[in-house]
Amino acid sequence: MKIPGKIIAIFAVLAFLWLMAVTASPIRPRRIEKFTACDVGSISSWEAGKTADRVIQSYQSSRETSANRIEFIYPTPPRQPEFWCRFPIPEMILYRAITLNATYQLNQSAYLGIGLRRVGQGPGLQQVQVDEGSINKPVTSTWLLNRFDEPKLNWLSGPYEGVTFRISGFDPGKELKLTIYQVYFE
Amino acid sequence: MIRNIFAILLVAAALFLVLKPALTLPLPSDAYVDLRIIQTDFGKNLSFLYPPIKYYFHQYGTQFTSILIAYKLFGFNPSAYFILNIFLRISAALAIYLFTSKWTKNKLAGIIAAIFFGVNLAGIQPTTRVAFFLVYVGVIFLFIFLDRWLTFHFRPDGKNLKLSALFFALAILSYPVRTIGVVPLTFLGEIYWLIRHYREKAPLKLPVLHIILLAAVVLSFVFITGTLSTTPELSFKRISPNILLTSLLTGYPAVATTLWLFISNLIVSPLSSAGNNFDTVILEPLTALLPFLAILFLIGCILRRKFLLAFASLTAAAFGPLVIASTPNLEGWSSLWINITAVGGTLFILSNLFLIYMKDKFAPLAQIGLLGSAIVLSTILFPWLISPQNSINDQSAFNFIHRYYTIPGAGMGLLLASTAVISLHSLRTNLNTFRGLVFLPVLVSLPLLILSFTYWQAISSNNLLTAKGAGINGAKIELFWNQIAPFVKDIKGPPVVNYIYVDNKTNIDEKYFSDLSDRITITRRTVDNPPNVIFIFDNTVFREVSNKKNPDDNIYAFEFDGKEVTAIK
Repeated sequence: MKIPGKIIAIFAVLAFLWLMAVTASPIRPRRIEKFTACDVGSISSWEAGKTADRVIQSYQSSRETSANRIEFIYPTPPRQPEFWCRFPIPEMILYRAITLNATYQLNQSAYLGIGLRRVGQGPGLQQVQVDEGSINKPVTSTWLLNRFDEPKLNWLSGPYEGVTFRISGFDPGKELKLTIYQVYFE
Repeated sequence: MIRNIFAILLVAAALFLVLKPALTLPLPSDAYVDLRIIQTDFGKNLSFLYPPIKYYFHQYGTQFTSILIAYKLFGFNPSAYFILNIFLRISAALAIYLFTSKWTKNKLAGIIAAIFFGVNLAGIQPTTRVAFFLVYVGVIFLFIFLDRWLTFHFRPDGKNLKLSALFFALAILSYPVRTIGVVPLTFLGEIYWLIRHYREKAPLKLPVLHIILLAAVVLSFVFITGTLSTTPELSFKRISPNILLTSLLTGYPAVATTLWLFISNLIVSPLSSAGNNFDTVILEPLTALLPFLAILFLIGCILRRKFLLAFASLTAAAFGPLVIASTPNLEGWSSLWINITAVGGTLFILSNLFLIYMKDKFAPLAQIGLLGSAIVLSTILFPWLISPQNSINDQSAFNFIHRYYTIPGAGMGLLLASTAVISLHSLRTNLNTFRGLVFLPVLVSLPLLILSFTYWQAISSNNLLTAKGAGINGAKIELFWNQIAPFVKDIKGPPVVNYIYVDNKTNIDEKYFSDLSDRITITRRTVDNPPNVIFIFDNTVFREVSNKKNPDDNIYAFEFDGKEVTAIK
């Protein structure tokens, strides 16, 4: 074998050993501190289907960002209200993130499902239950992005366009009101 | 000639013996899914003229066309589908035998390669799912192509140039999503041959023409027919190259280990016949033995002054321990999967290094073995990059019986067969010297392990097919269907609900009866608006439904004892 061939072979062996060695001692990516996934202050970045009987209100405070919120009010709610925010999410942010988090408030007990949105299908994350004790109180829920049965690497082709929300398991005879304060990756 | 016929009969008989339990299986649920799709794709009249011509060239066009032909020939007859499937599987194995024995000039290598492919549990899904038989035709075309390809490059002529390009096209067209890996493999081979022809100062006109012809085939499949162009579905499934590279380089998540599990599954069957202790009794000791063999191989290479190969054998020596060391990072992996990866991966690497070591002494065997290795890597890696696993239930490394393993299984057969045969041939010559004695444990262990794993694969496949058929007789389902067909032929479409109560006095799983609702839909050619058919097996539920049903709804009730269907009034 000539010298260039030998150099390539040595490099290939070292690269292979590196690839296997880092699986034993992985270099974990630097975690993101916080990446906002939805703009609750901008009503135009949200879409909520064509249900006629609903009100969407957005509040933005220049002094106190924690007061920013968006409200979805359904006087006579449909079977499964669904809405989403448009917000570009870079794939590297998703790779580095561990959880998707949302702070929100519901006026009755229900299930809140959340998913990442892209053209076609995004990974659906499990839903959380808002029980009686959490009604009308701001709640922060956390969804793990890496699940064993759906390894994260497999759905990281992107680009992701935002976050989808779906509410179910509520009393359809009552008004439904969801207030979202913030949605972010960590 | 007589030896060839004997070998062919031996391979066919061995495979038939292993796969025979499939012949009594009923149609699986997945087959009904496939039969429903052909009605959507070919219209209610199931006409070949219904879809546009481009349909026949798209990613799944040939697959569903083959299913339509089978349906027109066999209807719902499960035995006919399984006979065809097993016939094609054995034919594919025989194509591998003919190719390997011709190019290695060794019939034993051909027999081992063919049997390894034919009995392999990994990728058995095209057999159990029955309607995916076309992948075996793809394997046959692939090996005819490889034969003509090598013939052309050893003796370039116009006839083989055309045949090589023709079978290249047929291999891709027969199953594009499985054979996509053949494209980069072929072009890498073409570059190698071009350099070789140039160095040997051989005429370059025909080899260049050959590359142009193959490129024309690929380009027409990408831009004209769309066979190899991406679809929205595929583009959403594709792994981001940026993320993949980052994951590989940082080890987070442990994607390299997942890919090695893919390769290792082809060698080591997790559903071994060696009992429940397969993991602890056989695999665990091997995780220690194989690195030891790799170290002996390394010493042997140093003694024969093959320093670069000695350096490369560090990969085989370190692989198993590194996989074991990565256990804390393999979230959700069982110890069996980890041991399979360590053992199968080390055996794969060691076999390749061994063939490189022996390539001067046993050139034809080593070259075909290394070609097999290239087939494994390209036909696993490229389909996976395009359509990676979504979950453990889909085409993942964990779902080792998945159809994605079929073609890589053929490549693995070539690699292991060549390794085993060279080891056996070298045994005697290595007994005479000290340097040879260092190699002795490697030469004894490699064929022993390869033949044992092949045997375990065969037993596992046989066990799987037998277990699938346990308590089920496809003929009894057919008997039931034939007897109820006159009653249910006038079943009504929506919104009417049709309840079919079966007093099942057999031990046949209820799901096989429930699958018949799909058969009713397909027979009535109403896939676009299927009748609402609900099978009931519980007498209490049947009584409740009888009392509460809508006046327009239908109820059918039968008793079945395995021999006769009696209508209950």
